[in-house]
Amino acid sequence: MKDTTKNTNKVLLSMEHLNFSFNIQRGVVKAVRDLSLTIREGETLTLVGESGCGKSVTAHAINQLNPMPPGEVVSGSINFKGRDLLTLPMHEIEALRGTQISMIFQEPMTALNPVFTIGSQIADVFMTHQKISKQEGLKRAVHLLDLVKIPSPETRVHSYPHQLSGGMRQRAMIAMALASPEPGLMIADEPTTALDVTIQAQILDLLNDLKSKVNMSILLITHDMGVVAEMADRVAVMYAGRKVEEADVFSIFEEPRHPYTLGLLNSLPSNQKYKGARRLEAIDGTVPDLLTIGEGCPFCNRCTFALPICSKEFPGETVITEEHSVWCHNHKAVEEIIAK
Amino acid sequence: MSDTKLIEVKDLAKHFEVRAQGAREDKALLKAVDGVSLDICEGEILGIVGESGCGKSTLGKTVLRLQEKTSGQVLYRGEDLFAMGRVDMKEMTKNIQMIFQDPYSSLNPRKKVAQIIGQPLRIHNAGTPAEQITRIDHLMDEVGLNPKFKRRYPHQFSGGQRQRIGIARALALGPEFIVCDEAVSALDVSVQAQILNLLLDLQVRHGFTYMFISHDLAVVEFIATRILVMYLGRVVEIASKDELVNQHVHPYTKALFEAFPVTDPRARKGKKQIVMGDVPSPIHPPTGCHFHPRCPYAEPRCREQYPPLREISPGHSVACWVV
Amino acid sequence: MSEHTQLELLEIQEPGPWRETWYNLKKNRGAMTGLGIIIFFILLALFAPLVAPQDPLDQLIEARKIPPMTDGYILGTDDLGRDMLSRLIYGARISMVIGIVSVGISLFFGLIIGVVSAYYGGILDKIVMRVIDIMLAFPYILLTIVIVSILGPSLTNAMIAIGISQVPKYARLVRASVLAEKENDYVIAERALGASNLELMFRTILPNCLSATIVQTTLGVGEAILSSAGLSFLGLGAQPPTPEWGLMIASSKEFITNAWWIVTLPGIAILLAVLGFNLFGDGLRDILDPKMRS
Ligand SMILES: Nc1ncnc2c1ncn2[C@@H]1O[C@H](COP(=O)(O)OP(=O)(O)OP(=O)(O)O)[C@@H](O)[C@H]1O
Ligand SMILES: Nc1ncnc2c1ncn2[C@@H]1O[C@H](COP(=O)(O)OP(=O)(O)OP(=O)(O)O)[C@@H](O)[C@H]1O
Ligand SMILES: [Mg+2]
Ligand SMILES: [Mg+2]
Repeated sequence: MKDTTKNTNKVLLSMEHLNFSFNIQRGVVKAVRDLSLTIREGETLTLVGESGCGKSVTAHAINQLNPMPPGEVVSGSINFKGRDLLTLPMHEIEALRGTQISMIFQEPMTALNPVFTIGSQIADVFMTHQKISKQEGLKRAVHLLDLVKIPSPETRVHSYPHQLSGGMRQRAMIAMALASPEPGLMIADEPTTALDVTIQAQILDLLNDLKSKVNMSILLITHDMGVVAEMADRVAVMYAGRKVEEADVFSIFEEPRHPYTLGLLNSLPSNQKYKGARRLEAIDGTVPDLLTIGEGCPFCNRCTFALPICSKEFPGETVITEEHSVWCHNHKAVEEIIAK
Repeated sequence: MSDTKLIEVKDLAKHFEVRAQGAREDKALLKAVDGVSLDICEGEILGIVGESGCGKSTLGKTVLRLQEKTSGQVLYRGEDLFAMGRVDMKEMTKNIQMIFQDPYSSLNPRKKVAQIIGQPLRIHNAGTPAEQITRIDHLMDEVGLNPKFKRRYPHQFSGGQRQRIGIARALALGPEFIVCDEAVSALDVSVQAQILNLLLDLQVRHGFTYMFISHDLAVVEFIATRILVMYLGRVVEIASKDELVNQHVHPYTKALFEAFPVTDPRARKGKKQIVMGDVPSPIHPPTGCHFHPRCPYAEPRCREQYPPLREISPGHSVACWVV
Repeated sequence: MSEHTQLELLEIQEPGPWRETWYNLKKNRGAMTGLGIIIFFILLALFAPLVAPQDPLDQLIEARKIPPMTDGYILGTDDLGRDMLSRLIYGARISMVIGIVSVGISLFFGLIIGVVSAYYGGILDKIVMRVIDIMLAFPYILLTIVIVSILGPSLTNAMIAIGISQVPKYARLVRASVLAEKENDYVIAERALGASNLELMFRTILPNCLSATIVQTTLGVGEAILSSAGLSFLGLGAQPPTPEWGLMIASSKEFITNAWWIVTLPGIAILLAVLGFNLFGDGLRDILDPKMRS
């Protein structure tokens, strides 16, 4: 497997101890707490977790799309190609957006401009970086639409976003991301959640295909473990604003060490062990309210392995292997369960 | 599971008149459900899968007569629902119920939980007010909600808890048949598992029959006893779960299983061909077999005639010319 | 379900929809000013007999056209020697009643027409909407004048006329919000429970549409006060000697040069009352409009 060579690749982005809060009427929502991530060149890192656990806030912190206020970076840094994004002036961030850091959203309609054809929107990206004519830009747009496998690209460049199907819009968004001269990082926030399975398969296939063609890194956000299994090199599992486990994709699925990761995998009806079964091993309870959350492990109220210390302090990192870390006081107990 | 047929759907069709895109006055016919026949036996869980817009919800709503049909019949224990008068139909709502996808829009935001769950009791005058209150407590208990919270509004609950409220409401009158329309699709995986367990527990306890609509193959594969695959308003394949999962023959069913992401990173290299193209518009479906433009096995006659649904082995029917 | 979950729920203390509106309202200065003015006028109207120094109809021939702040008349007297302050206070009572009654009429019929037409749709809806379009094509004040002329000039008929002529506006507003609301799954869910059409329309859908109408209602009260003043000014509304503000202006317009207060003070009263309702209505709209919240 190629993941053994991964360590040698250069680090593209490293996020360190990011704390991000929203100051709202009822108090302070600590949406992201003490989060560190690294993304290496040509690698796909997936961020998984339940709805509201801070995945989108993390992604938006990178290209600073979070509304501020009420949002606020409390502390931390995000290094991208040697520069701290959080201290850069706004115009430099804007220059990075859509060029070295591109983004595809769950609902592509919100990111495409409805009054321009997709061809001219892609051509515009070319023209901001290179001195070329509109004609030339459109020609390259056709080429890109072909690359993302939109059928009959010559006619489709003249289509408006609303004339395209959901899958085609998502492809157009990807084409726009590829139009920049050096696509470094692509942030894909639930890119296939709104799509049908057959279309989702096409888009995921396309992303994998492109990644190997242009040396692009992908930060993929999803709550679908199937998409994780399909796409990820490495996986970071988030719960209520915290990273609780990080590992290569095989370790996550085969040797999870955090009770939440284990519970998540056990909750999947597609899990092999439920062949013929009539009951799932669900995690009881619900996610805590981020407003009233304390300093302890956010999962402790639902955790079957919880120790008294769990509700008091958040555990430090335990390194299992070079690629695999877990933040849990009682990860040994999970290890024993897995071993059985 | 018995062999008594609870629901029989015969050649049911539901068409909508819609404005064709672009042209202002042009009325077009959208055949959301187009000639669907199926039986559901007592105690069965019939899973219905298909992609967005293929008519799953429309089928579910029409089977319960929440919408008028265009043609066809729906029989509940041999009685035609669409031939019933208003009084009989109201009586019938005690037997047939629905659970909805969106736990946010399916609960009236201005009603308290007790009012929401108690509404069916009030509408049908089931018992004295005191009895209704005990029943509400009992129902909340049964779906795993603390009766203490009955004076709260829906927005004060999490998604999974809201879905429990919706389930309690559907249970209130003691139905026999429940249509679950994407009942777990909006929920997080860990909460989804809780609700699936709850639905299965309730089925065992009360002997419910479910029609379980979902676009998530894994969920349907887990919960259903029989699976029906729809494409653009029509049934393309129907079989018992084991047969459909292991021996599906329709090219669309194959494409669906192929495209569905497996939760095993080691399996990803084993992927075969992904079906190309988009789902066509249901307003102008392709001639002949609706799937032929995307079908790798299409023959000339697929373009001309819609294949009939025929039984290839007991209980396993397919609508395809090439199998 | 585990005990934890139940305990957690206790901690979630989300403000209810009304509490939240009130919180946002308090931050909106315009709306609070408007609310203050409205409350002031309502209190005046309620306690008019207690607050007014004199009977508004008492004429005192020897005390005619006394300017404000002289001889103990805070706001002076009019051409017949009636105390201006008392007349204005009683005028508030009439104006509030006019505002509330005529908006009540518009609201009552507007709600019914809007809900029924949106709920059933089809031919009925088409016909209702065309009629409404026709009514809206007339200038509103013209329509009111026509109706009063048919019914005969009086304060009651003015209220009815203002009420009726505003019905289309409310009907259209309600219809739009019912159309959006009835697509929600909870409506289908309640129908599946056997709820009747009547119950669905008025107990399920309507309460969820009220926030949109509240804004229009508030603005409408101000508008009705203004229209009734206009009608009375034209002699189609209140009849002398009723202390109606519009009528007070009309019957004293020839004194504008030598006794300005008799004309100006009722004008200021109208201005203040209408301003109050408009400020409050605009503030409410800002708060309730989902597009303004982000
Ligand atoms: N503008 C905002 N104001 C206040 N709170 C916010 C805002 N945006 C996000 N949050 C809060 O931050 C937390 C994390 O939100 P985020 O959108 O990152 O979740 P997510 O993991 O992307 O979930 P999903 O899977 O639903 O997209 C949530 O609790 C949310 O309520
Ligand atoms: N009231 C309506 N008027 C017009 N068209 C409708 C109406 N209801 C549904 N349709 C159309 O009928 C088709 C089938 O819709 P339906 O909601 O049954 O699909 P579905 O299979 O449930 O999809 P999803 O998975 O997205 O819920 C769609 O094309 C939809 O646009
Ligand atoms: Mg998100
Ligand atoms: Mg549906």
